[in-house]
Amino acid sequence: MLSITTLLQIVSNYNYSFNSSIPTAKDSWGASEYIAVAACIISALTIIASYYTIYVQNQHQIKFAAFERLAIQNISKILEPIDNIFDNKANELLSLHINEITEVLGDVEIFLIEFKDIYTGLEIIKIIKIKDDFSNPIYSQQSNQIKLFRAQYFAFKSRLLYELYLFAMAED
Amino acid sequence: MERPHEIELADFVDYPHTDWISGREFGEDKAKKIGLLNWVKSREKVIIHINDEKVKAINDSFIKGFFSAIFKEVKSKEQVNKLFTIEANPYFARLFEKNFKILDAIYNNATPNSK
Repeated sequence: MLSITTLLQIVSNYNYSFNSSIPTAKDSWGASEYIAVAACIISALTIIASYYTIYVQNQHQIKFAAFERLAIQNISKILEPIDNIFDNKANELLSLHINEITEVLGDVEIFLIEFKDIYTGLEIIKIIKIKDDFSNPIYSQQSNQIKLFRAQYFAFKSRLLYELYLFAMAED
Repeated sequence: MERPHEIELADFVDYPHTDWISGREFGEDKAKKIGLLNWVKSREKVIIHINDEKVKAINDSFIKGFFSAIFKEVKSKEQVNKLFTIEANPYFARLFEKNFKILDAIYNNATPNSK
């Protein structure tokens, strides 16, 4: 796309080559002048559109970074006690820690409900379904060692965060 | 004054084979079988006992299932608290309170803070 400077240069060259006399009020514009002016306008609009696109992209990045900080980082923090159980107590029975896990998962739901004050479109029901898909099966297998549920836990965490990222992208 | 209905959640477990309660559908099913919604519609009070010798863990999916129809009916946590008393150890009492907040937010489309 031609820049304004280039277009002005073209118009200037045109005047120098073909119209060395000073134009008078009586001189009427030819097609070339109209084309040059139109090109200038189009070029200006293009520049405005480019700036607007950059502005929108920046806004999108700011919003996304804010969501990441407000939602993703805080949820990761809330889930830390469960991370610690899976990291440090892997050989213990799940039944010994099931109440702590239940409590933390409840905290995630409470956090997201409070979070709806900011992001009103968030569908809590979907999040609860993801949580139930993880917690219901492990409840019936509490007599097993924690390490057996490691994959399910990380799958749950990924699903939860993925759902939140999808929401963040749809928000824009 | 009419005596409140009493529910012992330990009756929902096959003790000593199981000592936990879980599942939204299980909760909905138990509430239907008891006729919980009818008690609530006629504003009869209910005491829920949890014997923690027999019930060691409750998944909140059960609480959500057990109370979902109730929250659809009475709408607010305050109203549910007027009708239901949870007699349990502090952990279970807190678990129910937390899930009442969640159900309140879901069925009233409001946040706990706005209450």
